[in-house]
Amino acid sequence: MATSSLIRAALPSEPELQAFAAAAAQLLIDRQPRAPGSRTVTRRAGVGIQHFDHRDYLPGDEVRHIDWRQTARRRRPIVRRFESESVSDWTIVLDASSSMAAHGGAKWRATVRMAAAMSYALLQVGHRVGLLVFGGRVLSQCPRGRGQHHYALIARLLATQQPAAAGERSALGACVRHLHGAASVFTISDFLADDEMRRDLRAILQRCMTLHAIQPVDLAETRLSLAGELDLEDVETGVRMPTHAGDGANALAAAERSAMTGRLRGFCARSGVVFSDWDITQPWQHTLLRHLLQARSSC
Amino acid sequence: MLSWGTPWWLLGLALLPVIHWLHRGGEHRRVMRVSHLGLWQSSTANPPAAGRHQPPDPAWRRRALLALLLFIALAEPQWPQRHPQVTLWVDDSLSMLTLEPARAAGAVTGSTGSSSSSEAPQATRLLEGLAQARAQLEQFAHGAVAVRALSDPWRNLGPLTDGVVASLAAGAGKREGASPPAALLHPDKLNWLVTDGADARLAAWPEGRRPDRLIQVANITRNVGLERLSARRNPSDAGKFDLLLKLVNGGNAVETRELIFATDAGEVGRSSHRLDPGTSVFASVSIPAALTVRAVLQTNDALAQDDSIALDLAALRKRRVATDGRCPKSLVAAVDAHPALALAPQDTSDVEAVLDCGSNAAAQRAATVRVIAQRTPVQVSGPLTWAATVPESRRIALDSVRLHLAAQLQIQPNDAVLLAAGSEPVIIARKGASNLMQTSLDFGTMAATAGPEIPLLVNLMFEQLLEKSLLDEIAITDRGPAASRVVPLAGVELPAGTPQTSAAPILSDGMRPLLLAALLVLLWEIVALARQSYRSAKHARAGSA
Repeated sequence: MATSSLIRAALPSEPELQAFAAAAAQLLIDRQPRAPGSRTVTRRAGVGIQHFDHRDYLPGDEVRHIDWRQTARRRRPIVRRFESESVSDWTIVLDASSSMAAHGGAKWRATVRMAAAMSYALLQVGHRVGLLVFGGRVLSQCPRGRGQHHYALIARLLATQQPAAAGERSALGACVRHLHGAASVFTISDFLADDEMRRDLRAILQRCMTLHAIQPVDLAETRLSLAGELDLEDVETGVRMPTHAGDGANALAAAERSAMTGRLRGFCARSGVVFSDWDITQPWQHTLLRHLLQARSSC
Repeated sequence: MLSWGTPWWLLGLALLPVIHWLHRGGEHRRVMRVSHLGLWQSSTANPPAAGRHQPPDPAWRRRALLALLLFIALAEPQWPQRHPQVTLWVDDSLSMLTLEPARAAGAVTGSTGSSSSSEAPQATRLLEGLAQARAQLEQFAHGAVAVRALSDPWRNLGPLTDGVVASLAAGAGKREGASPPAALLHPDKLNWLVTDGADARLAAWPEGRRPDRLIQVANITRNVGLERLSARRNPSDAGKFDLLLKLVNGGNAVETRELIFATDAGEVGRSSHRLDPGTSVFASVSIPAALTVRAVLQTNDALAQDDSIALDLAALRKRRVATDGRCPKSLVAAVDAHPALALAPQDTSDVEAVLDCGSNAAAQRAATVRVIAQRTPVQVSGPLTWAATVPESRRIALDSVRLHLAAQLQIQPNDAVLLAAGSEPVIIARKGASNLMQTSLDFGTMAATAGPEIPLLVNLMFEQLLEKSLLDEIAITDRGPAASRVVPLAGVELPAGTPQTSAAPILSDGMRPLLLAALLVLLWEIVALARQSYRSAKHARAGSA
């Protein structure tokens, strides 16, 4: 079991953050292809809003964006959608379930570093960034904001977060109602659930224009340190299962892990979710840049 | 049939299912936490989802066995012995020598001869009881038999053989018996008692125990015996002894007996006595001084051994004291007047004590009182102090004004100062091969003043020297109050309703073997836990490597 000191992550240094932000700036200020018109923002005053299309009203939409003429014509609530400007709202969603703390908490530490770097880079280019930390529920939240001082808030929150060693489940869907008005959602999770959290991703996708999914992978989670007959206990559910540990079991687990990633990747490709899996032994900078490049190319 | 001493402990067996339940679900298996159980579905060994219960930890059997053994042991299981050991307690008091009509005596006397049924129609109670015991042992007890006499209970005489019977017959009546010691009344052995029941003390066993079987032989109910004979010097005539004899009617009928006293010189007294049942009378007579005296009852009865009693009077004879001719006349006169001392010439060899007043001729022959006179007598100075070893009642009230010392005694290590005047010793008991007592008192000067000091000092010094009380000496022979009783007393018999435990089974205690087995299981458990701990540590090291 990892202790809190082990799980508590160290954030990237300022030079690391600045170097990454400089490299990712062009990838982050590009115009987004589609955005919900409800709360596009401008970094500078006087920048207008371009109408894009209409869609049905959904609970949570701004009432002032309802197109009354279209509503009267179609006899149902219709809201206007707008093309977004170069800056918009981002929400970084962080998985703090117990599975992120397993095997010494390496995944959690890596995830926190990536989240901090992504927040810093987004704030550097003028985006508004919020943070959601979820487990079985939303564990903590940092409202969207901008500027260097906001990074300090996010960094403080990240530094104080630590997943429970056991018993904290993964409920990404709990974040859905907190994502109102977010243009882009950047999710970092191991997606270790029976359906790889696809249903929750689908729900989130309904609430944002762009959804990013980063899946950190720790090779240790498919490698048992003991051999022979033993009971495996799910850190989140506590359910136990007898198994015969060994090289064969490790290989089967690795294959299952790959299969889960494959299923998730297929889902994301079909749904328009920008997905990347990340071997946490690799530098987070490379993974993030590759992911942002992938996002830009998919637009 | 199996029985239980504390059966409520068996309720603890209800814990066995609890032990099984506590070992359910494989808590014994090593547990390892993983991020997501779904990753390992393919390598499931026993999927719980299939509804199959994991087998309990096999160690539950070991722990349940341990609990089982402990609870059964605490319940004190007892089961009957097939061949119990028998301890045959034999009352070998004097009354057991009472002659009884012989029935089975011939079966046991064999080598004893005198009680053989073919030669005499009677046998003693002891032989009769042992014969009955042997017959019953042959019928019942197939285990070992240990014979013990109540007069010497710690000595195991072994099985009931002819030699043991002869030994018991020869030693009967010599010593008083007592009830068996509790330490020898093993609960896993049968305890039989052969007695006539005349002495209730022998049947009053410790801790409320009772004989498992009582073999009682007591058909004769008439006996008069001589219980005690004592003698002392006649205070008015030093040549005579006063005898006191106690006669006891130990039967249940009025008896009349003729009592005869006899010494080496022949009969010295005769009297007739009538005794009611259970009563006693005292007969007293003065006889001329003799070495022994014997009292005999006529006519004899079934217990002949208590119809006569002898007493050695040697203890009452006067001690011969060789007296030095230089001793003051007053000192010699005091020795001569002492009822327990007799003067002897200075050169006599067979004396028990010597009074030495400066002539060393007889100094080393026997215990000696040495009167030392080396200087002109001077009156004692300082208070007179008696040693603590001299009893308060025997200390003499001396007037220091009338005491004069004719020498100064030197104290040596280990000497005992009996009397001191201030810091100066007056009477010293010297330690050595033969007793020696020295005094610096000037008895000649003391004789000038009339007083009892000299005879009292002479008596004190010779008593200390000979380590005996010379006045009021008593010679006595006592057989004890129950020696002549031949009628069984109430309470000796087994009470009504008490089962003759010869029919009741003797129970073996199964607690110890069960506790031993539990101990072995406990050791097994400890070894198993140690092995498990070692293997876990080994796997952990392998995993971390």
